[in-house]
Amino acid sequence: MVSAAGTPQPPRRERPRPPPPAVVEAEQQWIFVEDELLQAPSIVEGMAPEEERTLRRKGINFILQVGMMLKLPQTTLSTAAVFFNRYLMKNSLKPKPGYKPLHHYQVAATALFLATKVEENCRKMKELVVACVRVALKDPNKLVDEQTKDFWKWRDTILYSEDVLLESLCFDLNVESPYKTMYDMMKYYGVEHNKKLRNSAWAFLADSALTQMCLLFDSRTIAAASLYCGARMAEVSLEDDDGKPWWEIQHVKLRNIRRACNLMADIYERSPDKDEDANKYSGLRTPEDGIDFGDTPRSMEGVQMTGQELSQSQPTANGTGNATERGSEEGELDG
Amino acid sequence: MATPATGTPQNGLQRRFKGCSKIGEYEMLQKLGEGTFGEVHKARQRSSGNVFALKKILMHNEKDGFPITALREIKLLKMLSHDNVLKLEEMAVERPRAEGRKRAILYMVTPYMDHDLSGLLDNPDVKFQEAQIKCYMLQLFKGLRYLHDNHILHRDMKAANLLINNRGRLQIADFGLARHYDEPVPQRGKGNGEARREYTTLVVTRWYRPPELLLQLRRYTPAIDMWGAGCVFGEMFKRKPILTGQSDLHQAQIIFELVGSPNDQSMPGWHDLPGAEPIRQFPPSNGTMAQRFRELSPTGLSLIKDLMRLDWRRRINAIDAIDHPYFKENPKPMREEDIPTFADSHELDRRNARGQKQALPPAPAGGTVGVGPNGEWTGSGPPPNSWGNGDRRYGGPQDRGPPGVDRPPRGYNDRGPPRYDHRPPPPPPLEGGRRPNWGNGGNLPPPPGEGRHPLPLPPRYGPDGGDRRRNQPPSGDTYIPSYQGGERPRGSREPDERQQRRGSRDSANSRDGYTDERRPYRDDRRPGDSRGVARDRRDGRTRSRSPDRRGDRDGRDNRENRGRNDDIYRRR
Ligand SMILES: Nc1ncnc2c1ncn2[C@@H]1O[C@H](COP(=O)(O)OP(=O)(O)OP(=O)(O)O)[C@@H](O)[C@H]1O
Ligand SMILES: [Mg+2]
Repeated sequence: MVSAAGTPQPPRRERPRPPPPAVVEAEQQWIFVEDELLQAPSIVEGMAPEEERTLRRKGINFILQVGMMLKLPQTTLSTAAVFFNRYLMKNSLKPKPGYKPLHHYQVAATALFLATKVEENCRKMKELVVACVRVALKDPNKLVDEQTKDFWKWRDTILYSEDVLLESLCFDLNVESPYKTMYDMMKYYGVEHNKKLRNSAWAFLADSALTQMCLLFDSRTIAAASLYCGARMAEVSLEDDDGKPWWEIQHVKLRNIRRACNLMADIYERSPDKDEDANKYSGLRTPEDGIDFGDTPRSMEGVQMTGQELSQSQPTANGTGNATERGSEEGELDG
Repeated sequence: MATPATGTPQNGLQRRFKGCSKIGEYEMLQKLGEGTFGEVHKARQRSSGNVFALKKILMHNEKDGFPITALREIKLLKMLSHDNVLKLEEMAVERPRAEGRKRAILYMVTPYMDHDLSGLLDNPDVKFQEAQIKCYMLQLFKGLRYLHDNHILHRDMKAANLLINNRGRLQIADFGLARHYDEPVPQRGKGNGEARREYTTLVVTRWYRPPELLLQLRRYTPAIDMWGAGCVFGEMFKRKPILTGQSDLHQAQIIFELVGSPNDQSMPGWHDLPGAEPIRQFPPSNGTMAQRFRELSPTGLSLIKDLMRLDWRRRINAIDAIDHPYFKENPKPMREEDIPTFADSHELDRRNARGQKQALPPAPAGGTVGVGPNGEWTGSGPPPNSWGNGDRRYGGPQDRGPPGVDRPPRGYNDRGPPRYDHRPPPPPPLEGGRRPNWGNGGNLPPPPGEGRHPLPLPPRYGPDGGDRRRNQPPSGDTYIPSYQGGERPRGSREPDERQQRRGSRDSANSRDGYTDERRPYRDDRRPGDSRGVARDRRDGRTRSRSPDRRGDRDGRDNRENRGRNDDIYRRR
């Protein structure tokens, strides 16, 4: 909210405004460098980094599954995932004397509960609880109602963990969903009907949701990276405005877009269950400091990616919404 | 149950997060007032010594967790930063030490402001010079320009929501009803434009509600806040709200008496509005603005007329109001730093002051003290009788109007978290695969709670509770709640509206989802209390925070409060 009042009438479309400074500032305190992710409380408490990442992924899968059951929009789920990831930058999942952590599903359920309110997509408490129990027990048809113990356990957990979550989040609730930003950007360039572009951009966001991308880049950058990805896949170029490159118009840095794309390429490469498809993100690799699209290589050359630990146990990046966590063992809350 | 990990572990992240601190970092001072979702306390930050206002967020519907209305206000305030908009410094958390699971009490921390405008105007010792009024109005317009330019409608403009400090700064507060405005923003010289989509009409405290809202225009615009600013402008001269309707219909009637009857020139399209029918019966009026505001210069009069223009499209916008010739002519707007300072005035103090006042015999009608009959800033001494216990306290629109009646289903109409991004939500994507569900829900701001004008308490029973105000006949209007029996919670929200709201809440996604209801105002105004006594009781209540929270599991909250209030009344 910085724009001066009474600026002249916009032409055919309103230029995207930069996000309000207060929001930028709040988002910034949740952006880390790769090394800092290894300083997350659980890891500091002795949890192996791979395990921590696995728990994050499981938590987000939980959010996605409960969200699907409740037919929640993607924007709400991405907000919940951000809340979840941020919580884990302030709180440990590892028990120690005098500290009984929340289970990662409990955190995920609470994050989702809060996100439904923040994003104005409320669901009945009962529906939410029932879906949580079913997903946690991996039994989509499980009979759950107010008579069952599980129901009350989950309901109380969610209600009583909400303020813990809010406090951990520092009440930074203005989480711009990259889905919405991405769509706005597509509309700005009139490419929202280009199926290939749209699907690629969409897949990029879906894939990145399962990573810790939201702790490394602000949501505009993630959205812009998805657009970049889509535009590259669909071989569409995004026009300049008044000689300014598109990323400037969209208030993001080209370097960060490239870093985000490179990160996705890395993650995909290291993904344990990637299929025989070629790494669809490898084509996006560009040196972070290259000049612009036109003359940056579309190959692996010049990659300056760091922080590869990050990507070791990342999930599928195949863009097909394989959100189901297979073979995870914990069914029940112990709380 | 989990307790938040204390701080960050050693060797862990060396980052200081901002935005939320422990209540222990503040030292609570006195209570300043009560809002619809919590009490407001003055508090000193131990580390800096600075003074803040802490608004306690009460969980009135515990089974839905943290109130969605509070989430909205926090989200909005966190996006805003402007000199004339109250800043949310941070949140503060109080964790009950008691054994067992107890939810935290949360506070919104804002800079302490010495007065709210309503309280200031209520204080007979405070005189406003016109240059000072101009200074405040300019600040109000700057705040509104900022909000509107950023696609935010405040929707609860009124003197009680304008805070003023002793350095002459005015700030717009109380974003409990504000929402994102999904339309092009006002442009210089072009009025307030027109809206393409519909919003709920159940906003704005009645006395400040613009005619188009009273006539149920749903495609309203920032013009609704400008109308309220006009009411505030007039109020600064009259020292009391200028349009104190006793019902919505009566409100419309007195508006048209003041500014003239609507017709195709003054308010094009008015007769097509859903609420137009009863208006046709009103006797025609040419308006009495000029007579009523004789204290205003011709340019001042033109400003108030521009602000209170019936045609919402042509009503002056905040950009143009700032440039109005009124602010260029003498007396020139005072500089903030030149504004005299006054003793603090807040709701509770005022309430008590008024209590004393009421013990006095009525001042002579149309006296020449205070505000003269023509409103000139003459004498000192008590103000004219009308404000003492006159109309402003009668059957008060403590309500902001009905809450979420006829609220559109979420996800369709009233959408949109207040975002800086103003484009309308995207349509559903075309086909197949994983898709965003773009229609992510409506964002209806909280239904209006009760406004908190310096209104007196609705009459209550009790020894002398059959109170003066009851003598004043209700104007045959269903709005005037019957307080007999004390069944009603405080605040005069229209009964039928309450019900409707219940039924229609969040029809699409959460039929019985989150209560948008703001907590009924626990009004403990006790006209007639002496200051000291009042303060004692107040402290008593302040200390007993826990009962508020006892309703924890089964939403007994409101009932309890009501019981408690009744108690207070019996005691007196
Ligand atoms: N920062 C502040 N400094 C001083 N007083 C304040 C401050 N914030 C609020 N108050 C006092 O508390 C009152 C209520 O605050 P506010 O309007 O924010 O609460 P609310 O719950 O939204 O009330 P309502 O909905 O009834 O208008 C104000 O009218 C004012 O008198
Ligand atoms: Mg208020």
